[in-house]
Amino acid sequence: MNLHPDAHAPLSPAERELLAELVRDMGPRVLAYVRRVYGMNQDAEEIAAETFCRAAANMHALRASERRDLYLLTVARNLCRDRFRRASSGRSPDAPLAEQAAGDGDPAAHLMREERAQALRTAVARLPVHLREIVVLRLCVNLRFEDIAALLGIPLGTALSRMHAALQCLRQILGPDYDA
Amino acid sequence: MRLACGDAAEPTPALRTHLENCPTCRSALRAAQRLVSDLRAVLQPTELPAAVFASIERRLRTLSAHGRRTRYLALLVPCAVAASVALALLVSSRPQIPAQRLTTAGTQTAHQTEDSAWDSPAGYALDMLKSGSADTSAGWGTSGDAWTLLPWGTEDDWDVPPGSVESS
Repeated sequence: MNLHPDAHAPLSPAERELLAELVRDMGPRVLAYVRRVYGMNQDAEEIAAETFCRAAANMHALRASERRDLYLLTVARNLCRDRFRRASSGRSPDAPLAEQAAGDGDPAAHLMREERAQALRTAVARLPVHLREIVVLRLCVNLRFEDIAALLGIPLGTALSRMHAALQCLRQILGPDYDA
Repeated sequence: MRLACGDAAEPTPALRTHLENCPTCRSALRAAQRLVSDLRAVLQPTELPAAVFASIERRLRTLSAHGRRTRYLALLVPCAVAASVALALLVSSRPQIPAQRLTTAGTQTAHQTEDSAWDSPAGYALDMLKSGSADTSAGWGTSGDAWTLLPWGTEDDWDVPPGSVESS
């Protein structure tokens, strides 16, 4: 899907193309990051759209950035934190949405897979935000640990140890039955 | 951790040797890799909904309208500043005639008149007229001070007021 050319008159054709490419490439990942980390099911799409509009408004900075994916994620992260802080202090994240995977084959096996997936999503949602963020950035946004460390402004060792702690925590939440 | 999360494709030689000799670590790595694989499948990003594209377009339209307003303002502000500066320069370049000079014009000497005449052409002409009127108060050509300051002097054959220059 392309953005309508009249939608952003101040942008040059090259900038429009760059923005459309970024929306196509990074849009799903930005949206997933906002949804998974901050649990803002209602606001996630709005924040994702706002992220790209902020990027369009500061196109010179976006073009100058060597890592546009990190630039966009930083914008999204700041927007989320602002929104979360403003919305309600102490508000817990929204519950993870139940997502239906395409079913094929045995309905019982499909149901079991779905239950397992929902248990995983719930477990991730129950992680502390600083651990959840690492898990989502690595396994959903698919960033390398060096990039995660740069994005969050933490040492690489801290990023790795948080991932380790997150996996331990997930194992505890899921219980011994999960590995069986 | 990098190996379990797929951030490193191959274990280092030392780690590979350790994993070959340590069944506990080998099973822990396998369990971690399985959990990571499940998480990756569950957390996979979904396609961006069309509503997000619509929202981006809507916001960009607002942004472009705001940008147009900002561009007009960006043009107007320098114009206003330039006009203000031009007006200030115009006002400051007007000849300034001190009140003291106006009141004591009758007693000024020709030398003082020459000094003050450099303020501006208008000031020069005004001073010349004032000093001339002071001298001519006693009659044309009687003093000669103002007359000698006239550019054409008294020696040429220009038309001069009758009886103002003594015939030689």
